Amino acid sequence: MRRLVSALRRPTAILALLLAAPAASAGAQITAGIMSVADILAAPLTGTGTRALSFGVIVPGTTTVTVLPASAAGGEFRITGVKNRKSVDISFTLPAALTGPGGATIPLSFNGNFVGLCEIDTSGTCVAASYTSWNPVTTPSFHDQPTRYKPGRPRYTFDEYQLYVGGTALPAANQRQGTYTGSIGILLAIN
Amino acid sequence: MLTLPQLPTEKPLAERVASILARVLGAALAAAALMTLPATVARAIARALGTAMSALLVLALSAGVARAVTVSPTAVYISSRNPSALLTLINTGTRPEEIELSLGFGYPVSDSTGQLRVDIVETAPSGEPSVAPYLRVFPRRLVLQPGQRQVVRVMVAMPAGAADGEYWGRVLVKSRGGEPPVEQTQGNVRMQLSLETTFATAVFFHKGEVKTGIAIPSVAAQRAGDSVQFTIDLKREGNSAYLGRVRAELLAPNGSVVAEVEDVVAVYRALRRRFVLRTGAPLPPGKYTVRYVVDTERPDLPPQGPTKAAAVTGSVGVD
Repeated sequence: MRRLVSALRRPTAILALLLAAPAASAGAQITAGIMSVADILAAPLTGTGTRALSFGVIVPGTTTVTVLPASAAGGEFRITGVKNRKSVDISFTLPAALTGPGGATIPLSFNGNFVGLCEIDTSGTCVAASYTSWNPVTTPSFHDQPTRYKPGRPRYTFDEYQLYVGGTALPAANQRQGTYTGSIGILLAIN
Repeated sequence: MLTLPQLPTEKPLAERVASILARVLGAALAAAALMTLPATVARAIARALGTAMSALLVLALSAGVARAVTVSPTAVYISSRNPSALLTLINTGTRPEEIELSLGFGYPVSDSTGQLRVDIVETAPSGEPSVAPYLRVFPRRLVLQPGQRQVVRVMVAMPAGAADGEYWGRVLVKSRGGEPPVEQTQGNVRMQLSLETTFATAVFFHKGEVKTGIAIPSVAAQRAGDSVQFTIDLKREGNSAYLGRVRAELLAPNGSVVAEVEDVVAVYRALRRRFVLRTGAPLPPGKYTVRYVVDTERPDLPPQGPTKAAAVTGSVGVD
């Protein structure tokens, strides 16, 4: 009997956790339901920065470091709630420089195709045909529509969007040592 | 990293009940297995269950990783008779989110090519019907733990002598996910950019009678290779923003619809929109027409919100 109890202990604990996970999700849906009818009709967008843009550690003497969007060091945002929308407006707030020790700075440049987006299918994979990139300096606001790569599709069919950010850092050859940081902002406006 | 005070958050009753129910069911299931099954069978089932549920647990926990702050509803409508509304912020992610709320002003404008832009500014240009100076939100800063939600109250204290009409503003909800701290390194230069997300939720304040309408000063359709470029100029009428949609269809010489496009529009003053109607195949020669409708159907916005107006329809030949 003791062995039996011991054998059942682990699956029982896992079962309890599993049952709790969908309960939290169900709670979120119920929450939307009791607020108002409007909240059910208007699926809200959810957004988050999922990975920082990292230029990494460089040795003195390096004067240009470029990170491409959708690369291992690139920044990533995830937007959810896109399904059934007819368009999405995305704007970026890009810093001019990174700030480091004693007020030292490192200039940044985003003048190039340094941002991109991809629709994420239900398996969590980027739909390759949907990937597009643009220059956030010349196109600070990007208005995306589901017909962009699929003619005749009036609404988005997938719920998730991934945004990618890259850029170029231009440290001086004798750049002061230390950690340099900054932040990139994404603005989602429902109009 | 989490230096901001944790403000009280509420958990809905349904969520609490569901959570308790899940625990009770889990315990009952385990007890039933213990009491009813022969030991050898129970052990075999336990091993299989343990393996399967471990895999499921990993999936269940990883499913929510990408999600984070949700702001609901997507637009806020306030009137002088009921000068407050609620915004609900939910952290559906797996990490704490620092959230900061501020106020601003901005609406979509377009350039000559129909390219849209939304400039959000702290202070509205003079002459704009901005509600931002009279908006109050509470709380302004908070930290939402995973799974928590917070109701934010949005209030308007408009001066009594303000003219009738619609006033515009934005509540900006900025969230900064729990990024890992940048490691300090010796003897080198380390560079990193964190990411912030801002939702610009539109706020509309109605005082007295509000009405809207749409005029279409010009419209054009031009063949461009295998597609047709449709340009429409929209000018708002009345004293309220025109929040609606444009739907356009490309009609072949025989009258059949060969391509269509649809998008939401928010015409606060005037807007040019340009659409590309693609069939996905070369367009045979012939006389094509674009048929369009502009109406105030916006199922993505609160139904009691946008000011309604009669639909405007028309058509234009393709050059």
